[in-house]
Amino acid sequence: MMDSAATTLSSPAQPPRGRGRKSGKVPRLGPGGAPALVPVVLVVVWQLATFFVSESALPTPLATGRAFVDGVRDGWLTTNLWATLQVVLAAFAIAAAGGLAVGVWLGLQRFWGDVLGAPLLWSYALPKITIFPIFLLIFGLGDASRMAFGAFHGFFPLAILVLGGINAIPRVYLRAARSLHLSRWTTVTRVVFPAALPSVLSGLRFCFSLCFLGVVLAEMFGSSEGAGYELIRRITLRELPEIFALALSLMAISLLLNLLMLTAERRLVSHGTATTRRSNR
Amino acid sequence: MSRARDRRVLLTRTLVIAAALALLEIAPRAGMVDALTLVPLSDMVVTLGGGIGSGEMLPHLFSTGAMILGSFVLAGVSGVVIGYLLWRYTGLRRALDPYLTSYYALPVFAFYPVLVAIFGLNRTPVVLLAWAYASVAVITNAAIGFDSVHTVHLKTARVYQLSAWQTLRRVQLPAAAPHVFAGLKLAVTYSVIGVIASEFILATQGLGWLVSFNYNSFALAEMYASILLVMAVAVLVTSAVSLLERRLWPKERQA
Repeated sequence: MMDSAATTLSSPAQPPRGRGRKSGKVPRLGPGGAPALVPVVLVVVWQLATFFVSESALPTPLATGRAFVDGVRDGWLTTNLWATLQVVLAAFAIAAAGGLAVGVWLGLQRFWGDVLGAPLLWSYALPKITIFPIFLLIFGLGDASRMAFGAFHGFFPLAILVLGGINAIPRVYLRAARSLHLSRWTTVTRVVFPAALPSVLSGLRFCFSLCFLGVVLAEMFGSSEGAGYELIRRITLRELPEIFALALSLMAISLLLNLLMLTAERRLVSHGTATTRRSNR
Repeated sequence: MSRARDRRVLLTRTLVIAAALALLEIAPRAGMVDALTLVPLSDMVVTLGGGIGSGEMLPHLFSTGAMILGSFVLAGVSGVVIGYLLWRYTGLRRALDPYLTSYYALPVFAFYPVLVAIFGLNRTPVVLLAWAYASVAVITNAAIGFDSVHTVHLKTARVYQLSAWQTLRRVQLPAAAPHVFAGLKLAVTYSVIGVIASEFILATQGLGWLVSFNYNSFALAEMYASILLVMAVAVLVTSAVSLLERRLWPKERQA
């Protein structure tokens, strides 16, 4: 499920079909040009929309920009974003450790992997935020509850992807490790982990995104600080430019972090295969 | 041998789930968990039965169901249309591709307060958020589906001088259907989560709202009963879609 949601649209191996071929002749922007145009077009559409709607219903891009600058200067925007990000990082650390441990364990214990893999996957379809009140009952109203919920929210994709990645390792590798009498720890660090590295890395990326979403959702429901709390609080104050500025900042931060992790992932994976090739020689 | 193992896996899985449910019953009864934190499973079920029997929970169930259906239909239709446009206009696709790829990495729900601020506290922001959350899965998969149509089939359509609309209806949509369905299947999940999570955060009705309302009024058994109902709805809807998929594309025909 996770994979089909994440598949890239462009398939470089296939030539564009139908009308698409004709547009190939039109002089076009550089490789990064077209995607960079999207925010520009969106802002223009947004600006045009504000001409038809009153300012109290839809703030202009300019007002939003001003709210952003003021928010950074006053500090409410940066303080809340930083509060959220700190909790997200802590949640990510917990979820990464837990997801890796459970994923590796289930990957190596074939039987238990088969038993528990499917229930782990089912959990993906559940609206997990509705059990956040249980976290509030256990951990109280402070940082701990949203951190725990964020970790819980991000744990599943990592465990599932690591489990899948280990299941996809050629059995020969593990048999070779056994015939070399490698210890369990050495097998995991030297054989299993490098072979499953691509799944581990994309699992970590999904894990981070879902920790982020989990913490923001939790803050929107019950918290006394953080970006999610601020978004809800300002609805009653009807401070629309501030809400827009904060929501867009959250989007920008998560988009940037995701692209950063994607780049690191690509570099690490190609580096990994290069070293295995060298050691094979 | 592998069938015996399959049976053993299935049996163990059932036992593990049964043990987890039993723990939910026993732990609060035996005092292992604080009675103010967890109520026994049987109490949840009884409260849920009462809530449904008295008709108290039904309006919320119907409201949520209608909004899930509405946002899913919106996402399905708009997703296929946009997916088709992306297949047809390569430039558009090149521009949107990086955003569509990282879309599900973004905390889309941060826009829910924005939508509430614009449209007010009613059903509109809930449906819009769930639609926005679900549609990208359809867009991505539909575009892949249109890619997968064999060139020969498109050429045949051209030989028969079919119009663009006829080609779409008679050739491309049937050929792309399995991919489109995969997208719709994800969209169902995202509609369910989109609607219920939005209701949970801020709303005036619905199953998600019921959970948060009961939490805020310290009605513990009612809260757990509504969580149970939310999970049951999610499981039922997803299994129904899986069942439909197996009916439409049986395993032997997939190969």
